[in-house]
Amino acid sequence: MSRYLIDQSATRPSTRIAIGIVGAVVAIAAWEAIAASGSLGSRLPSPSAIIIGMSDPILGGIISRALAATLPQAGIALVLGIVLGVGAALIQLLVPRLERSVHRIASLLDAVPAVILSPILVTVFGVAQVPVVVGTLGVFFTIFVTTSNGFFTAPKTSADYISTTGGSRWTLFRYLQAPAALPAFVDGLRLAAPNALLGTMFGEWFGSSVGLGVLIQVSWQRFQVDLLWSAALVATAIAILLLIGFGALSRATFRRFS
Amino acid sequence: MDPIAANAALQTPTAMIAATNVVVDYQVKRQQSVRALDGFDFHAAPGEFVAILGPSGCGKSTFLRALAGLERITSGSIVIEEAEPSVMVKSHRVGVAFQDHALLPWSSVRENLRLPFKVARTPVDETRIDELLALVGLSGFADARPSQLSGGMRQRVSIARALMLHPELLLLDEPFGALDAVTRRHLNNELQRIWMAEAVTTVLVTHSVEEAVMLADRIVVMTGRPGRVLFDRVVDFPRPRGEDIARSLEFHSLVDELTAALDERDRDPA
Repeated sequence: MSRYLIDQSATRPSTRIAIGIVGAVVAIAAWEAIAASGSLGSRLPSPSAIIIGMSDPILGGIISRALAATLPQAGIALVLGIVLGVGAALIQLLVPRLERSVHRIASLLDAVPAVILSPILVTVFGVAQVPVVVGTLGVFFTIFVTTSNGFFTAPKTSADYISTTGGSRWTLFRYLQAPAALPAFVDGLRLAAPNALLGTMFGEWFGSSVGLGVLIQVSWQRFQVDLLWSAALVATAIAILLLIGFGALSRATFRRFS
Repeated sequence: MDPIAANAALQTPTAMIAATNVVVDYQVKRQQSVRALDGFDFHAAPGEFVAILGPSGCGKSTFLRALAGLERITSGSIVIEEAEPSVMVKSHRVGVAFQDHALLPWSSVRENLRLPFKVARTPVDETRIDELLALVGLSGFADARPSQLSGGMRQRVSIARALMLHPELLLLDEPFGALDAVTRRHLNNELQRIWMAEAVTTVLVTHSVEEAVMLADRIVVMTGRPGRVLFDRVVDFPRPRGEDIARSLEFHSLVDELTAALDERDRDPA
């Protein structure tokens, strides 16, 4: 199986969740203790201070406006990335002659760092489109790789059975290759959804006027430590929630389709 | 005369399958190829059960795959009912079972048995599914997933699926090859009973001499790579062939004769 699929055998789900919660509690407690001791100075606020600070209506309002700008963009990036990634995987599956070219183009797009690509993208697409484009690129490659690997996990002898029974190309896809690729695709979603958010935020650094990425950039340049930490915490929390949500979906799909 | 007509004329008029001088080369590297079959001849009459017996790597599976339309032949001809193998395949008249059960792991037994109808785009006949489930002795397992079944049970499902659309030709590629000897013998008895009930022209590829003698009307013995026909032997034990036949002197002497022939010719250091 591909390296993108979760190892189900290692531990029971309840054990894994317990380990995760204990780990998070320990890390947050350590952070709280270090911040409270003041050994790193006032530049490291404690988690409780960040959360209390966010209840401030002005700061809360700033973050809500940033989220209202970034989340829809990240959503669009996720959808576009899925469409393009699945599309490229389908082209690779259905036109074997293009297999290498598709893979090379996709790998090349992934290999060029976003920090180099983004200024060029600004000149091509304009400032307003760059967050979605960078987010899309992050989703595209993950979905492309996981989905095309998924297609190739379809058992060869089952494909032989369908051919010998007189099945069409479409029958082969519908009854064998598509269901075989589904767990890998959903696992790709788990990895791609946080990419959509983080890619969109990064894309905002190249001239956007509003958004969670802009907030982080501006607050760091102006040394607004509270705002910086709040924005970082919100972004991280959303990325983790996406990871957990799609992780559960991925495990359910894996159980059903393998 | 066109090649198809020429071949038909060479064979007995009742032949359902007529393969003449079949050569299959595999490209291994750019300038290098391996000959899997070399001048292989084969024929089967309607309703006949023919076993192809040979050492592993002799190309017997390659020939079966060519009959199934899965393999291109380099030269020679294969004619099934006076047409290319693909004609019968495309009209959903070939049933096939492999050593690997090839069932869809995410589908229940019943869903797997619906697949032939979906592939052929015909309405699902639940009565036929129930009939075949009963025939292979798995009536109580319709809702089980393949992973919940034993290896022998999965092969029974695979054979039920192969028979689902009333095929005119049944192709079996070592269907019990991965099973233990006891289960294998048991399933051979089952297969004989199922085959007598369904009366379908069958080509079985195997390296088990007992299996071939137990099941076949005729055995084609192959040489090692590249595969050629060593000889062709009619098996005329009456059916059903039960334990009495399997224990008889005639059965054992035929098994010994065929085993000796395979040993003698199997000089390929596989």
